[in-house]
Amino acid sequence: MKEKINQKSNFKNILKRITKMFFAQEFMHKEQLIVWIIADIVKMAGLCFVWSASAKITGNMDQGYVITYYVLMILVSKLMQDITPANGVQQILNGKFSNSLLKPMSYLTEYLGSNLGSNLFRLIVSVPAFVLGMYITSRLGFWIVDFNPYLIFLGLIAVAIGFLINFLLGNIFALIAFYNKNMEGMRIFYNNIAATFSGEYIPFVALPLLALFTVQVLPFRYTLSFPIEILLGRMTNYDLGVGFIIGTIWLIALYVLYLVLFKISIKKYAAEGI
Amino acid sequence: MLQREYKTTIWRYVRIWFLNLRASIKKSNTYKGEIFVRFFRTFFILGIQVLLLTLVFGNSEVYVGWTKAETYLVMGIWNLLNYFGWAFFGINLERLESRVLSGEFDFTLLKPLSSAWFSSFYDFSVYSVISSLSGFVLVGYYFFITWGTLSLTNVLLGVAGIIVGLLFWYAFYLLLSSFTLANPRNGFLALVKEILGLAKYPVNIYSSSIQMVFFTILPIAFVTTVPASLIIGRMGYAFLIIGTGLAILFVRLSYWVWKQNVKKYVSAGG
Repeated sequence: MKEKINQKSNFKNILKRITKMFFAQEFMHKEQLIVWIIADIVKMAGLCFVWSASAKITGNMDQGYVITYYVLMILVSKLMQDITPANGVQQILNGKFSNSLLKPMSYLTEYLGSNLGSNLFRLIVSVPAFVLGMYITSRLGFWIVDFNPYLIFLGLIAVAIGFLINFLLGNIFALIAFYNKNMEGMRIFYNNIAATFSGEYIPFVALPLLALFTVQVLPFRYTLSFPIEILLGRMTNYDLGVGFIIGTIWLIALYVLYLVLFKISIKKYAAEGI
Repeated sequence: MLQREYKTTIWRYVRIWFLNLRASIKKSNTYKGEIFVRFFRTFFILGIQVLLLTLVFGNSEVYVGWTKAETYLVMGIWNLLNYFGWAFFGINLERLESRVLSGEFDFTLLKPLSSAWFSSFYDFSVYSVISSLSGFVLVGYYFFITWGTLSLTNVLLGVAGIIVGLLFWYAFYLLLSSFTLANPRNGFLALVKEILGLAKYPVNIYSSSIQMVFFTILPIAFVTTVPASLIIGRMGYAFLIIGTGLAILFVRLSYWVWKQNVKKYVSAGG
């Protein structure tokens, strides 16, 4: 019991240390990270061209909305990233997960810290690209965000909820590695699903009503699109309320689901390492 | 000295590649469930791409000068090049970093073969061939829709254009991954993937200055837009000849850059 109390009080300190450690680790490979972020910007610039050309031709959506959506994504996506589907799965497969089980803390704390450290570093590196994107978009007359403090506050809460949803989804997915020893195809498939339904490839403003309803009910929207939609300032109070309620329900449901699945799945862990 | 005992003719490379292919097919039998997952993913990707293009077109018949069937053709060619590229060399060049960091690349240099060739083609991803089905479906759809108006000459030119596109794809991959030898963990391969990703759509979606770049300095227009235009009959022999010349130039350049980077390889591992 005493140990449990200590664990709780130490959680903040451990998380802080792991975050710092991963921040430093990311800094060590900063060149790679900068190139990754450039690659990310290339992808988003491409999608910007695709959808702005579509908006111009079809008139179904506002060109400014779509372009600002992708510029904001440069920053928001960095806060949402979760490395568990890659690293967590690998640890289970190669048997290193055993180390995490021996540590006097939940392995989730370690994963959370590693995500926070690397996301923080990625965010800092992305800021110049975001500012440049914002500057160019403003000069072209497409920037539509007026940085309302209230919306920024709501956006930050949505980012926190979205990150935790993404983190839990990633950790639930990683549990499959206890059963299946070849996760490569599944991991790529999971990434495809998450990217599609989070609004990365298709901005939800372009979707027809039925498809929009479907993505609003799924958890992936809250891992990327929802905070951006808030910052864009075109949501009604009703949509905001519904979005936060669905996001929170998913957060709680995924946490419970994770606890249940982990309890069942850990029994399958043979620590064989392949 | 020992290396002289081996004849490094093209047939020797072909024979080695087929041996590697056989080993890769045997290896892929280990996880049969993976084949099912890849099939499922292929149809998911196909569905998403069709949805994306449907939304991009809206009620409009034409998008940046391309009809829906023509845009499917561009995307289909991209899928073919992407997944075949991954099956043949992408998977190997992606692993180059870990081979350099673990010191395994030293063994590649000891082999009596071109290190660039061996690093590119030592394994074959059977699973990626499954994903290329999405490309065949999209290209097939275009052929089905335009069957009556298709010209055999244009189709043959288009096939040649796709082969040229694959050469470009390989050149870009090899060029940027070669820097891993001199400076591992540089992230260049992620960059090349996203740059090639820009070719998923007709280059006409970009501004005229960017289009100029895509036809000259960074010739990704030759990867999908040119082969598709050749099939449609919008471009002629001239583009194929220019494309072939540029592709050979890029492959030669990437092999030269590879050699320069091999000279800088210090075998220090990770």
